[in-house]
Amino acid sequence: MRINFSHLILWLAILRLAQFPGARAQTPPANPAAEQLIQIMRSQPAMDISAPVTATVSFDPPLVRPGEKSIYRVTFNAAEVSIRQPEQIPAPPQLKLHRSISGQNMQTADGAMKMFSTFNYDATATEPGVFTVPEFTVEVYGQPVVVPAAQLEVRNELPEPHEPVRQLLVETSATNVYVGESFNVTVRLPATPANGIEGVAQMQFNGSGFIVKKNAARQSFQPAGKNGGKVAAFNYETSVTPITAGPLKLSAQGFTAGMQFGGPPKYLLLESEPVTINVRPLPTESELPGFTGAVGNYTCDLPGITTNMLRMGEPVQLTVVIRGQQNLNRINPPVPPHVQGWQIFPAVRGGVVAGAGTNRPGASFKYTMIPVSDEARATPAIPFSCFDPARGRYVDLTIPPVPVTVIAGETLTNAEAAQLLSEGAPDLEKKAGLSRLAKTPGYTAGSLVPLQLHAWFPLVQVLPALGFCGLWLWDRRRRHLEQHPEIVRRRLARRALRRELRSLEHAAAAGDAAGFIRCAINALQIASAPHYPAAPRALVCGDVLQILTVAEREGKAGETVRRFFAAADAAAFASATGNNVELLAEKSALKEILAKLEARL
Amino acid sequence: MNFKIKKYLVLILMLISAHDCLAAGEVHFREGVADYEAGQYEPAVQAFRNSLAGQTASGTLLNLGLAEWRCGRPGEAIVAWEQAAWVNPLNQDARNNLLYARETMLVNPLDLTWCEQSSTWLPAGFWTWIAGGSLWLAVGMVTLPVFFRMRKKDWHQSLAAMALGIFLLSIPPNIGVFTRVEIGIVTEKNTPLRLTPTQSAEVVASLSAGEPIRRLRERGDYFFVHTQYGSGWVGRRQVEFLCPE
Repeated sequence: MRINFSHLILWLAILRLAQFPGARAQTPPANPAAEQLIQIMRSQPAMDISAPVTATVSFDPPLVRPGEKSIYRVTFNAAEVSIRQPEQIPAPPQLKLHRSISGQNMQTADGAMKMFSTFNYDATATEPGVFTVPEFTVEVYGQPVVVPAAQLEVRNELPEPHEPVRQLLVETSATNVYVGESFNVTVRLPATPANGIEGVAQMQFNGSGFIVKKNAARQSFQPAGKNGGKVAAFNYETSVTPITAGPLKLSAQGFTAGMQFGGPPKYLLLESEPVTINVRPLPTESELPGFTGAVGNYTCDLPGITTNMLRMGEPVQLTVVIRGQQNLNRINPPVPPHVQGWQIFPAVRGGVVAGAGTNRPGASFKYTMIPVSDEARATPAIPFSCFDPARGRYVDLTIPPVPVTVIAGETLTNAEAAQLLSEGAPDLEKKAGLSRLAKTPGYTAGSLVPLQLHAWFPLVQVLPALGFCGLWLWDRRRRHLEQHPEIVRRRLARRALRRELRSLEHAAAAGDAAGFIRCAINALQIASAPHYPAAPRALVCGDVLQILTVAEREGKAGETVRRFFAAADAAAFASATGNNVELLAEKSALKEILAKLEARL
Repeated sequence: MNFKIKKYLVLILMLISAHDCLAAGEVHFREGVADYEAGQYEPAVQAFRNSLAGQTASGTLLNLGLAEWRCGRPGEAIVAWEQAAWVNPLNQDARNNLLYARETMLVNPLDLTWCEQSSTWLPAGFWTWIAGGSLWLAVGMVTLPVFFRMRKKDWHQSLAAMALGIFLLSIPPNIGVFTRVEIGIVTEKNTPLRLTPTQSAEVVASLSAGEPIRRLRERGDYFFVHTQYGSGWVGRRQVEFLCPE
């Protein structure tokens, strides 16, 4: 392929000119902000992670009383994430070590930034003695690093003055608040016994369920009460907003930032005791319309409108200012209502309005409204409410309507067309969408009320449950009877005994002595059979007598039984038998015996 | 007269009266269709309502909505179509009409929870029977072989597990049916949404006809409702619910 070099040079020149239109001027940076950021980054000292990692360890204070808290502090010159601290520190059993907090700070040394990570453990010993935490190995950057041994001395008597462990003090302006109610938190670091005041850097609040307003933090040196006197102290003040209900624990930690008035800098990781904040939920039953989560003491200015004379379809801006002291940036704008005659767009934040005179600062919101009907006489009221924690109730801050005059326009806007469409809907039916008439009633239902809401429905659901319960009881009874067959035998015997008693009565009434004796024998045998167990017909007189007590056996009852069995044997085996009519008179005695036998079944 | 004969007579009379009701509903339905096609929309509305008094049918509700729409009562029309879809969720005509009416009236449907969304797949009563039937089938498959001393077989367990699964799956739709009962439709134009349940209360919003609401509680002649434009009180006569009281 032949290349025309003159054309190639010409095209390259055109492309060059197109890329650099101001070829004669100096080329400006593509993104000045990015250039500045890069310059700032380059001007920062380099991060030094090449130095060998060492660990320092100390007890603070090294001399305590039994039960008094000391802090076992381990510091590495490495990033916190690279340190694999063991779960348990080897320590004597009398010395209790509990991991409390950890943190990382950076210090400039020899023109480079060095990272230091500190791990704090709460140490307490219950008895006097000298306790040594032996040296142990920790993995840092994948390499083993030896943590040297440290000693804690515990004595009952300590030389005065004794300074306890240094701690941050957390004070809150309230401990009983509502969700969303901001309160102030002050963290103090009192001066050292030598009256050395230190600042605190990298202040951090531990705990969950709250938001800390870090950009509103203030730092100062003020006197604070300590041991009944006043000492200078470093103060860190900020605002905290709870976002969940319940008891929340709040504590603080930070590094001492060195002596402010001379002295070598010390970077110690300090912590505070946790403070419990009782956070109550907002009442839901009395919530007013338009509540968007604003909690605090707020007021609403009269809304401002760009003009009161409007043309239909032309947008107008309504400005609303909600004034208060706290959380102005966090107020959700009131939601505009959906009303006929107006098309309203959601609010746009207009920033924070500074307070002037007696006016407090406020959050501004702008609504764009379009009148779609010339019948509108005022802007619609916008519901809004806030919860006032001081009064413990919701406050209605509904944005009132602003009177306007709407002049009918000549051309229809989209919103007007939609409005007209809704008003003339029946006439427009043929143009779109509606179905034809159903020719049959179609799917039917007993009622529009769902079955679950009918009173009979739970009863219907209970019937299968009752059925299963009945089956279970039946099965249980059956298994019980299988394990205890004597119950069945006794029940059958009782039933047969009653049958024989009826036959006995009939025979006695008819004067049938032979039948009477036969029934009596049958009844005696049936009533005695379950005790052996045996077939009733296999029992003889002796077997029946065995069921009776000795007194009964020797007495009239035994005699009656013998007489009946003798008469029956005679009737069965003797060649000549009497009519035994006299035994009919023994009916009552016999029934008494049978009643006793039945009772023993 | 023998008690058994009396019982059978009462049953026959009940069946006859039920059949008469159905037949009357059918007659009113045809009257309504004839009136509608003749352009007599008010009589058509009355006829369809009479038909519904005897027989709640999805097609009748669809036609009632059409007649109400023709009479210029979009709120009532939307209620009727919602009820048609409630009775028979597979009634595509009712759903299409609802879409069209909402677009025309510039109202949005209520945001349904996922439970409520799932309950719209089948008629409300179906979910109840599915839940009840599957539960007792599962219980029966587990217990009946024990009671009747039948040898346990794999299909007993499989059927019990399947029935239990169906029961668990049918719980959310049943919850959805319960909560959808509280959904209503505003029937009057410019219905005021008031701050308190009184006639002189401040109006916080004006609801257009067809606007869906969710009833939270009631007091006197007012319902405290939640709409997509906020919460407030509306008059009892200005809303109709999918499941009438």
